[in-house]
Amino acid sequence: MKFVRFIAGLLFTMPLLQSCVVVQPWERETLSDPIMIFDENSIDKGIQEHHIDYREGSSGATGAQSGGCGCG
Amino acid sequence: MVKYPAGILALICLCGGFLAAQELPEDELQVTMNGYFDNFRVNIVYPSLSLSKQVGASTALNGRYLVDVISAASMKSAFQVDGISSATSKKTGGGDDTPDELRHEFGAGITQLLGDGSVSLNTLYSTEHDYTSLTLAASLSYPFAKKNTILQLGAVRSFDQVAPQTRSWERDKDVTTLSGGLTQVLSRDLLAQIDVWHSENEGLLSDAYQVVRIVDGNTLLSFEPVSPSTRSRDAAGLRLKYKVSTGASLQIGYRYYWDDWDINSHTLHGQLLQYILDGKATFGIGLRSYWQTAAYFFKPVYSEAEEFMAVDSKLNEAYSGELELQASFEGELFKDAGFLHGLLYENSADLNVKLKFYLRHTVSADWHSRLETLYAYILSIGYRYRF
Repeated sequence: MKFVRFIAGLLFTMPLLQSCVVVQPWERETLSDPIMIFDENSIDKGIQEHHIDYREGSSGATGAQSGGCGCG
Repeated sequence: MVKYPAGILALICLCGGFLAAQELPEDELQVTMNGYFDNFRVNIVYPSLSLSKQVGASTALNGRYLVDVISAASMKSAFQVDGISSATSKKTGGGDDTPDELRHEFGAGITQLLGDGSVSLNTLYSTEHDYTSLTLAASLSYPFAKKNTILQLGAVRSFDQVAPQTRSWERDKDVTTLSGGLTQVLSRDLLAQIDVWHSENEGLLSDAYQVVRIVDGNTLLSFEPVSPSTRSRDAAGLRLKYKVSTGASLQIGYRYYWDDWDINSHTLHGQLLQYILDGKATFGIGLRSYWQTAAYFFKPVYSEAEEFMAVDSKLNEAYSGELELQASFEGELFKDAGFLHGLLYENSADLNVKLKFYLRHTVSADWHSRLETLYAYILSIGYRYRF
């Protein structure tokens, strides 16, 4: 239930974020650089973080683009 | 048994980078060789193969295969089970010079553009001689505010079956995970991302191969670990990415985790990426620090049998650190490099190399190795070919 409330909160804040927009599409040259991508290789990240899941008691929220597909 | 990380799959199909909500995955083939080697005598080699291909203007398919090969070195123990990965020998074989355990993993998925956003569906099947897992995942990614804001929602359900070869029973483990993320452009050179994650776990949540030992007078009694049959887990994280110069970016992040087993953790992470060799290669260095409290029922030593008993070090109070070095090389750098010329230059492919050093320290010794500090080297070499 807490998670649902949190998601609802995210959705609620979106109109506020939209009012904060200051960067137009033609101003995003810097942001489109590959080194500005969170987890540019998502498959690789999933594999690379795999060992941590077995050695620590927590998980999750390490990035919406993370996870990847191989879990070796 | 190599316990299946259902948690990480919560994010399985939220693929792609910033501004990817309305983009399909590229047509590409990735072949990666990974290795894990630690001082608990666990050696794991896990090659993987993944392929994504666009079919039409708005649809992409993906498939992958991965295999875990766990060495005999991890099996040289009195319990015939590895305390870290829970690797167990096959019912046949398992000698010193042969792999003790193989896990095969097969995945398939589809990504479909819908309006400005995209929807992904994925499935994953993992099998080994004492453990099977089926995972179904769905995710939605949608941009708002002229693509300055991207909302990502994901849901994952996994169905695991555990049949330990040292026990006479079979049990299930089911995991439902929901995740949400919001990526926001804050300026021309600054991005932020908020992630929330919730997971409900039910069924066999302890490691059936671990052993709780209790000294009763002159007798050593052995018990199976017993955990609560449910676990509710939550995590929230924030990441920032900043372009510090024309050829470098800095990422910092923090994550807080909590669950109803009383484990709380803090994670700090930083990464610097820098173009080198005229932009034809990228060098990266990353640092990660982590602290966690113990599960309320965890004890390094039990004096009598209790309702819940756990000796798993990952439920113990601990801290860990990780240093990561990585380098990515474009194929153009290999035009005069012998056999790599055809593999990398002619195919415009990338070569990626990563080396990690991981250290974990628990406040009491591990139940199996009797060591408080685990350190490991993780090596990865990958070939990425876009076609």
